Amino acid sequence: MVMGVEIESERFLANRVLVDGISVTYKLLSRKLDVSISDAKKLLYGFYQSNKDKVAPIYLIAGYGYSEGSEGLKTGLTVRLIRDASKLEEVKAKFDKIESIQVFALLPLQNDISELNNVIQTNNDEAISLAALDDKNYVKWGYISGISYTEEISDDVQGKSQAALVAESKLSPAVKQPVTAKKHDLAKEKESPQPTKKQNLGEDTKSATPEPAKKPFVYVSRKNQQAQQQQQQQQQQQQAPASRPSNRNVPAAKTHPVYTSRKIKPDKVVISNDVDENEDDDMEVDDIPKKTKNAKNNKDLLSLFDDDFDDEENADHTSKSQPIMVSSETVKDEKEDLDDQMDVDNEDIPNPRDEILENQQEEEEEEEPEQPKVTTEYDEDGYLVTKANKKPEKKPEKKQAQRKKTQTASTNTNNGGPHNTNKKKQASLMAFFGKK
Amino acid sequence: MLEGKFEESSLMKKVVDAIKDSVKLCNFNCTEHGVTVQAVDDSRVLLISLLIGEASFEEYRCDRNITLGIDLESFNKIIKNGNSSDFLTLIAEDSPDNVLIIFEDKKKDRVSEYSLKLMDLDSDFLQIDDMEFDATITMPSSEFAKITRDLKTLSESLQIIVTKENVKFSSDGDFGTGNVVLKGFVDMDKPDESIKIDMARPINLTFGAKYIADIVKGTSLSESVTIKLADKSPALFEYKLPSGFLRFYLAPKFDEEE
Repeated sequence: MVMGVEIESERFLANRVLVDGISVTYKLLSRKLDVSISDAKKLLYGFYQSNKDKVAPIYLIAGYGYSEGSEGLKTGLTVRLIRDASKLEEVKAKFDKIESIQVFALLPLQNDISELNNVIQTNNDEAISLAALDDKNYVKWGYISGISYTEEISDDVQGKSQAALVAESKLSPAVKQPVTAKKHDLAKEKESPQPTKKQNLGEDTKSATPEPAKKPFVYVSRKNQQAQQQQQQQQQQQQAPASRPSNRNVPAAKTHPVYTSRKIKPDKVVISNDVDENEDDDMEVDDIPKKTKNAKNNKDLLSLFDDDFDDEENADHTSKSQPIMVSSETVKDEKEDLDDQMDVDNEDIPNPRDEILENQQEEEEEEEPEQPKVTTEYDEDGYLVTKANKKPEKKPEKKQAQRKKTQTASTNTNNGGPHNTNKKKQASLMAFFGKK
Repeated sequence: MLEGKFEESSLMKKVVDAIKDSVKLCNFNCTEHGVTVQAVDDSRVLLISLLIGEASFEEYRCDRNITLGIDLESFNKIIKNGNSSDFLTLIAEDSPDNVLIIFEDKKKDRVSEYSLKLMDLDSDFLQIDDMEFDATITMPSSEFAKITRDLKTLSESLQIIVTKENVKFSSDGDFGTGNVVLKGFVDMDKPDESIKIDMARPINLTFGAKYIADIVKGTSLSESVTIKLADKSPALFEYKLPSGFLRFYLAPKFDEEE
């Protein structure tokens, strides 16, 4: 850490906490001073040490084996925010093993800290407004960037990766709608996460069931899967009374809470029906007859237009920019397939609809470049979710155009000619002729 | 009392047409020798000096000096009403509030009479001393008009470079440049189409193209135009009238540091 940063931090914290009486979280400090979050926490601690009588800290304890009360259930990794510094020791005692204790935020001493969520929220909002979340800043602030979901999604569009679909279905429920309504093989793949989820909920003994997320490129016959599913369901029904209590005993940390919108469930049902129709084709995944595949695509695509998008659904789409991105990509892919198919069989799709599709695609392509690379938003649980979008394809063109512009501008400046004449100032006649 | 009768109204039409875009309001000073106008455009870059000599009129009478403050736009509206071949007579009292404009058709017995309200205009008369010019170019007015129109599309400035043998009109714009070089030559059969370059010193002057575009509106007045240039001085563009002239004095553009 540079000395200048410490002085700047002292000044900032003193002004904000002591003078203005507003809380500061490590995140805000990190972005304000452009230092890593680790340094920001140290700076907060340093400031607290020198101003113990004026500021109150909020500690963040991370550790294992935390138990609430004497008979409480001991859990895995637990992170606790301690509002009252005096209770720090008390809370520390509840941990079996403490990984770290950090200063999460500083508040003015007289401040009412009952509204901790508000403190965090306002600080986060401010922090977001201070600097953009991009790869460069991630490194600077010491964040570990997560998996690039876009990459995986693009994989699934191209390579039909099952794993990506699983990830996609779990991560962004809104993605499902555009995807499910379109591609036959996507829809086919889509079905696979569902049984997996059911298996998780059911008995753990079904280890023979393939885990699609871990084996993205291994083909597993769906017939077998479905047979197993049915078997499982039957077993579940049989063992229902016995299995339910055992489910409760499973620690919450081990099961991944997955949010699935209830709205899209009917779509899923439709798809699974469609899949059933083409079940025989599924046996030969490597060479699915193109016509059947495309016919399915068309059917699904056209069903897009039959959907009634209500306001709520729209809100869902707009609030999650990435899914829109994905849908546009898939639509693009679909369009290519559609074009291929048009050559083979023109009767399947009525032309006007195709036109509408084209228009829609164009609109979406136009919108694409406007989407930011990285989007940050709060999910329903209040967690800050950052999504990295794939770079829009049109960007290079734009850049080229810009380069062209700058080139012409630079040639102009090199020319000197026009500027020589343009720089000239018009003289007035009054400078030459006097009044009579 | 002023009473001036033109053989044809076309001369007055052309004069008004040539200057109405440069100045809106001007005083027509009528003396016993003819009518003179001196007016400067609003930006004080272009000065118009017009002399319609007594000989330009078929009949001319002006007992005492009369100043007619004329709105050229209105005057143009009236003067357009007459046929070019009509007789045009201007009549004004000694202290006039309006001027009578009478068109007489030569073939029919048709007389059109219009009255134009006059304006009381303040005008500063500028003293134009006899200037010494370094270069004089006489060329067909239509040629000059074409060059101006063409080069104006490239840039808002028009450069005139006079060397011993030729004159170069040059325009350097954002998207390109244009140069028109004319060499002096004499056409014995059609003297008006000759290009005459007299040069005492090389000249390189830049003018606002829009002003020159206004100047070439006088093209219809004369077959030839005379351009007189002097270093760091206003240029003179002159269209000769049967008796008189229409002159434009245009201040050049200078480099900012100069």
